[in-house]
Amino acid sequence: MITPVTKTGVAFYFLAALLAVTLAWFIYSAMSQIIQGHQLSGLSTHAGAAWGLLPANIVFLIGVSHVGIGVSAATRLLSLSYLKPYTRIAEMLTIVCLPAAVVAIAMDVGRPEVFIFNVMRWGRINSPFVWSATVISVYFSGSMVYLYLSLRRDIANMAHLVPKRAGLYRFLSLGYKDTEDENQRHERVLWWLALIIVPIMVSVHSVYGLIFGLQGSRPGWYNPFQAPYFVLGAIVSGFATLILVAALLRWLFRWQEFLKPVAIRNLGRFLSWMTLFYIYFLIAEILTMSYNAPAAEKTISYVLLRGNFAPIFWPAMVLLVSGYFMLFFNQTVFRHRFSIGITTLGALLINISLYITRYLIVVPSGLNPLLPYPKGSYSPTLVEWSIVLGTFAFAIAVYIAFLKLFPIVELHHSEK
Amino acid sequence: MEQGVVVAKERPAVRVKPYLIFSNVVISATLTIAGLLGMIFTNRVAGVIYEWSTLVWILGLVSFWLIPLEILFIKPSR
Repeated sequence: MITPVTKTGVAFYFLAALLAVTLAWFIYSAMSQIIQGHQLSGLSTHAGAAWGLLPANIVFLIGVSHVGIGVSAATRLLSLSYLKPYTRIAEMLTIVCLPAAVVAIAMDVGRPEVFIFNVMRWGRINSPFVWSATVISVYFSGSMVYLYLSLRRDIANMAHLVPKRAGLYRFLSLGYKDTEDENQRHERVLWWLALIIVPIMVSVHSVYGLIFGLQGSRPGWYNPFQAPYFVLGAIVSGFATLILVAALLRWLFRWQEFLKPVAIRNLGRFLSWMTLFYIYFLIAEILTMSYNAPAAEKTISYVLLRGNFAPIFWPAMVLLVSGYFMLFFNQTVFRHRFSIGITTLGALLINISLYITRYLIVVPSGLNPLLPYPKGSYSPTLVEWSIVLGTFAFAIAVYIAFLKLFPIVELHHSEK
Repeated sequence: MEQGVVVAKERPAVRVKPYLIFSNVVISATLTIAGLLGMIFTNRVAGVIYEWSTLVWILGLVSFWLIPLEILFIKPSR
């Protein structure tokens, strides 16, 4: 289980070099945008979309961060022992995706330092930015405490398993003694932490739903169900990402013995149900917008279904439905020939579709305002793509740094 | 006391642990409420802290997470 910690292959150096180049290009693009403004990202408040690819990216990253503590908390609260090897894989998704989302938020507002200082200095309770800053700060700090406390035992044991870093691990374990009493105390506290973090987790993506849902001036956004709709989307993209990452780690390090198929099968089953609910919400939304809605809503419905966003919308729906049926048939009709590959492919298709759907939530409404501004156009520029790729590179870099330092699967579980 | 029996003295940290946790709760709640009032009220008297009230509010909420660390880190030595 500590192969990633003790061994470093050529693939790691190649990936590290690729991430370094991507991050360097991201820093250059970010500095260019800060100095020259949003003209470089193609975003405009006069004619065109004020929000584009970056806000879609923010919503996606916040959504993926949902799953981490969600899976870990569910495993602990519902005693789902078969999911235990996957909990730290999921927790790290939260830890890497939240800061990546914050980086994306900072770049989206154009002047990060002004944004942070203004929100902290002059924020009002009725501002969605304040809600966003609150829930992200509380969720991230809670997740860090949760991860550290669940990792503490393994850090202490790593001092024996990796002697050349024993000093570091002993320092990080902060006096942890691997005794039955200590373990039980940690388990009790972690149980209560899991219980407290779950509603905070739900609130994080609810806030992002409300950021859109409370904007009465934007057709397609003003909707009382945006909060649960976004939470559902977060669960779908979060679980899909967890399946992808777990399958990748399982294949890369040959952990078939530790990451058993039954967990991926059950994760796939849960994902298929959540995807079905998401498709239901989607159909309800499209029907409401198309049937007898106000003119502005019908315009959004037209551009999505038959207008200039149709070439993006329909392939996204095909991906979503295909991914769902892959999972559905893999779990039911062909359950005796269950395939992790098909579950992973289904999760990938669903994740791509959800990313595109976030883009389609943000941009069409931005291009068709209620107020009589001239209608412009928008397409993501190279700078915006660079920043988006930079946020993913940042998340992946932190994840593999963790893999090199700490065990991604609980050591005491893998010994059983 | 029987001859030869030595009673171990409790570490000072363990004795003050309940007071530490209670203080943490009080300070965190104070910061949270002060920050919230500062964000709601613009009056410099009613809004206890006017500027930086969002930071104070977030610090108050985040500092609650120190409590599980205090519960687990402060323990009697065996």
